[in-house]
Amino acid sequence: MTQVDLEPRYVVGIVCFIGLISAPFLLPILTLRQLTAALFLGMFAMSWDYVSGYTGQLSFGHSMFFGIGGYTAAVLNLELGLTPVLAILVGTIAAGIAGLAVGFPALRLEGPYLALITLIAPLVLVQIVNIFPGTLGGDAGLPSPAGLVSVDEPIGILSTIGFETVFVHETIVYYYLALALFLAIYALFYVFTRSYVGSIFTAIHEDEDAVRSVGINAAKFKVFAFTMSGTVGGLAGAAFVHTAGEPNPGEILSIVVSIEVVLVSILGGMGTITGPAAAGIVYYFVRDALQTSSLTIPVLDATVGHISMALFFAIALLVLFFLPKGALPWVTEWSRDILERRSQRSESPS
Amino acid sequence: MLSVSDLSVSYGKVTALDGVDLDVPSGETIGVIGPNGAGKSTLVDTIGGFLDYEGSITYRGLEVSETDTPTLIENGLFYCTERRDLFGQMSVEQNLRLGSYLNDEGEDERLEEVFDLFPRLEERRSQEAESLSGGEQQMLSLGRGLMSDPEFLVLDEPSIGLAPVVLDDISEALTSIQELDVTILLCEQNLTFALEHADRLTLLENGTVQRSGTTAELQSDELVESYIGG
Repeated sequence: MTQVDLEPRYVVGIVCFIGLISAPFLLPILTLRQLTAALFLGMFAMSWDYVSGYTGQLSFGHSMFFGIGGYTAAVLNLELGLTPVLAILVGTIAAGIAGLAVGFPALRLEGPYLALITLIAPLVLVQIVNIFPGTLGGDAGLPSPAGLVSVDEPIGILSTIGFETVFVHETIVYYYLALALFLAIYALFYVFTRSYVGSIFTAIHEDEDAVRSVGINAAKFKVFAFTMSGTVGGLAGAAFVHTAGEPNPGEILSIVVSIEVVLVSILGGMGTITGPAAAGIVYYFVRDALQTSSLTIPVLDATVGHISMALFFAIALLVLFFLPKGALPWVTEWSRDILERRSQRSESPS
Repeated sequence: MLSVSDLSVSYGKVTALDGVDLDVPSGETIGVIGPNGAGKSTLVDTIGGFLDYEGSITYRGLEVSETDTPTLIENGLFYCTERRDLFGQMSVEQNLRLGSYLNDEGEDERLEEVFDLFPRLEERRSQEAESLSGGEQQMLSLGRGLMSDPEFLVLDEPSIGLAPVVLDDISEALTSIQELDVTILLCEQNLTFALEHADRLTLLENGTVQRSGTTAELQSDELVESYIGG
């Protein structure tokens, strides 16, 4: 029998994939709902990594794309009665146009100047949401728009395999929809970043002048990266409000959302796609666990839930201190070390 | 092929080039020599389209200041900078392939030609560029230039910082490139290297042309010898 010597990271990947596919059979239904929402954060993190991790154009206001996608889809559904699919489509296009608009300053601006543009844009959007509370819901946000699919009756096949109630069936359907979208976006980014386009993105990240010297129009690629990133971020936001989340600033538009996605991507490993995707999912659960914890911290006399963000940032700083390149590059190196040691052991005479 | 006329370049109030004239006929190798600070790199940076200037630089009838880098490359001009401008975290092969970005027809064949010219690059084709030695990086920079299928190569100090043994390899490769009828503007501080390859030489000092002539004429020129210490 042939023995396939897979690197441990691929084994981890396969186990995670099988785990995600079989999650409805393994997890309590409320945890599955959380995982559905977490998948959207993973998609959003991938969209940030695509533009910032690969081309090095730091976007500090990426929530604008998630927010534009989410708000556009929600408003179109709630106000104009557009079907969720159509509303998501328009929300995605709107976010893509926003990506194009943010990408254009990249033709002239670089580094901190471009980062500032990306930072200001969502702040303006939050103000707009507050100026039009009637249509956009203000601080409190909008009510949930219609679900992406309506599950009004039990689904035969799910009932047969032991899942009861319409609520459970709806949760499972939304979960698999989110998972399909997550995997599709992952595959899309994976292929793009490992293609010739990905090489040029990496080259832009390394040295923009050198890119120009070989005749590549770096600006064109930066605009493309922003547009594609915005489109995918918008798709994630639009699908999120129609499946697992609510269209309010705190969830999809605020500056905290922008900071979270940057932090998550850096912790996962910038420029890897897989790292931010995985870190997005893990972060959602860590944040939730911290926010809902009623454990009291003795000296501070405050619950963990009250200072959850501060705790999270402290944990993040510690992780960054010990793993400055992020988790995935560390796992990859560790995995290669294991393989190397294994092959050395098998080569050495017994 | 390239004509530089009354070229002046300034960095703020400092004049780097002042009234430089230079002609590079097709198929020839023109060496630009001079001490540190003579304006050699400024000259080739300007020809490569990276600096503003007064006067005129025309390449195949195109005024360089009005032509973007992709158009210059599409017209056969490729500039290998002194910095080498490699992408350190990308592999040797990825670096080479980026050189043919604007002209990918026959890319694989050219890649093989580059590997024939620099076998060491083939041995290291999957290795990251930043892990190469200085000589190998210079080979990669030249190789990437060749991947654009150039008709006119502008080389800024290809011999800089290289050990004599590596310099021999680069010199051999440059001879092979010359045999392909590629026109070359060779900016060099190493007079021996320049004399070995150039058909004609131009001596720059303080941003002005001090001497210009065939290699044979300038080889025994006192001024050239005194500047370069030859």
